[in-house]
Amino acid sequence: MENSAINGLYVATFSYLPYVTVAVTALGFLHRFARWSLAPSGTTLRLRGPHLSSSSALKALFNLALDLLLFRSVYRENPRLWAVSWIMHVCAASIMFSGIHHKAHLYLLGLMDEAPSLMHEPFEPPIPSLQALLKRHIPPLLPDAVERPTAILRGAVFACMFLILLARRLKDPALRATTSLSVYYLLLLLISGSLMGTALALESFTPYLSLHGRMLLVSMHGITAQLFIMSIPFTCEIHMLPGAELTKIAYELRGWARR
Amino acid sequence: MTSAKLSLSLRRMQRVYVDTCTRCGLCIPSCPAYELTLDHRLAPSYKVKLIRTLEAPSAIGRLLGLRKAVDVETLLTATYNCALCGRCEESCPFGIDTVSLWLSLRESLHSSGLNPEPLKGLEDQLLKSGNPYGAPPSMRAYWPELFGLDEAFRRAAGRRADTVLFMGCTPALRSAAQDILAATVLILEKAREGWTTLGERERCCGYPLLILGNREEAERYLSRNVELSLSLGAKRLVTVCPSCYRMFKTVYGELRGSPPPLQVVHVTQLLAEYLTKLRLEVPRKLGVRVAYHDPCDLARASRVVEAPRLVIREVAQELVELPRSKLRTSCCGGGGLLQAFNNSLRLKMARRRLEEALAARADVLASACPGCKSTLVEAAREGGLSVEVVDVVELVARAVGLSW
Repeated sequence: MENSAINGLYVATFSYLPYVTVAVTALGFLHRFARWSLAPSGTTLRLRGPHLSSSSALKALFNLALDLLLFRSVYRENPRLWAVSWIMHVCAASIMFSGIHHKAHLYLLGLMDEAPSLMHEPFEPPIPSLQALLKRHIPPLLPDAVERPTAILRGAVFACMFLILLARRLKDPALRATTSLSVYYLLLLLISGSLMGTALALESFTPYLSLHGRMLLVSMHGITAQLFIMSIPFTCEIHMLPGAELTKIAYELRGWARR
Repeated sequence: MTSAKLSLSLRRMQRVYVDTCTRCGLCIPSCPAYELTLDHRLAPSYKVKLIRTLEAPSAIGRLLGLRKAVDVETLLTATYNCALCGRCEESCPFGIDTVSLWLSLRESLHSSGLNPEPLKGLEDQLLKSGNPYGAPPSMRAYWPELFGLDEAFRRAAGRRADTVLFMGCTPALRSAAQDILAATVLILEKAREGWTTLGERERCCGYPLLILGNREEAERYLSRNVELSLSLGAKRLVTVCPSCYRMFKTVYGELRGSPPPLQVVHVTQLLAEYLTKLRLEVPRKLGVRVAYHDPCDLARASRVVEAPRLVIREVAQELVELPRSKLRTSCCGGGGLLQAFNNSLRLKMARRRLEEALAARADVLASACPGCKSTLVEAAREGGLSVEVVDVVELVARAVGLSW
């Protein structure tokens, strides 16, 4: 790839695509919430008694926290899948919220800061005030000496966990029949994105790429990250925002209220 | 087979549930029907996929003509080879109310007339006779004669009392389950309970109608039984069947918006009360090793798991747990009207449960459901398995020295 093309890709990925990402994601969420709120609200005929055996709201919240933080219900059903999914989610959270430069690693908040050093010229992030705010208020989670090498490890583990999940899906005929194209798309996006992220973390530890090689890798990583963000409201990734929490909370509170 | 453009209108929470499903597949191995057939069409997450395809599309979807067709055979296989046991719901990490989705599917198929012929016949029979077996209403009051309990029954039927015994169709009309009613009546008499019964006026609780997809008729049957019970001055309704219990205890409130104006108890809860308050005394425990099979409707759907165990511990030497028990119990096959749609699957499920009891070296397999008992007895007979299947009520009656 020509250097000028890489420059163009880099600028497009980090200067223009974010606006598309934000717009598509916001519209996606609006569409999803509209679909939910426009659905009839009548009884769903649960046919079952209270979900909870807990005797108090406090215990209900404790049970809920166990499920949300430790994935207790997954552990009860399938400890091996629990190990993979829990480790994957912990890696995801730690990668997202620590980042190799002691900042949040969410695209708009983290990657933009790398732009000036990569471009060797002044570069204004699209939301400077938010980034500045986070820089000021989010303390580094880990010291740099720990953060950099573990970032490589976490990224690699993250990718491996997704590879295991993909293999599991391909191996099991029933699971394969259940899986829609969007799930494969998400898995491939996450595997490639995390592998590129790991390569970048390694690069920041022991540089091995030329400037344009690094720019290309950062751009590709940025594109996969943004494609993933755009997919959230349109795919089952919706579970990571309100889906899981809403259903769980509604379920637990409804169960508790009926007692 | 033709393809169906079935309109499935989901409620708000159901739509959230369907969107929340990550296709993690945790529900797949937990489904007893899938486990025994390995047919992916029976997998719960595959059914969610079908629902997603069938669901009425959004305005944008309609404009783009996105409503896809689903093969009718696939749809019927997926929908009716299901015992509605709720095991998938228990395994879902997102707490997705799967049974409500399966019921919506059945309702849609029912309203579009696509439900299978055997189930249409069953519904007609039920609406004509008031029970799923097509027996005339007078047959409900016939069983006491078989056990020499006709006098006690006649004395109780129709009188005003605090406790009404809701017999249920299977215990009143199926020979394999009639012992349960006989034992219950004997225990009520021994405990000097002031009880009554609707007798010949009793009708189906509405559960089969509900799972056939006819919600309106189910509500009518259910309400009628509650009104009749109230007219006898009842303050407490006792059921021997967990499905009836579930209908009165939970579904009545779901359909009517408020719980029934009388206390609803399952007979095992009543027995636990009798034994703990010493209204029944057990002279000597039965020298048997009892494995308890939790009925889905009682354990998973109604969260009644301790009362039957307490009762068994009080009356039998030893209680052993089956590998799948309590909220994670495995269906015996007797649910979801599987008998009418796929009887061989029903018996396979029951046989596996019996084998689990044999592996646990149990002398007796006890349940607390007439449907479970008749299914397990039939499977034991067909498979030549020597496991005695009884109801918890029968065990109690034996332990307190009653015979019939």
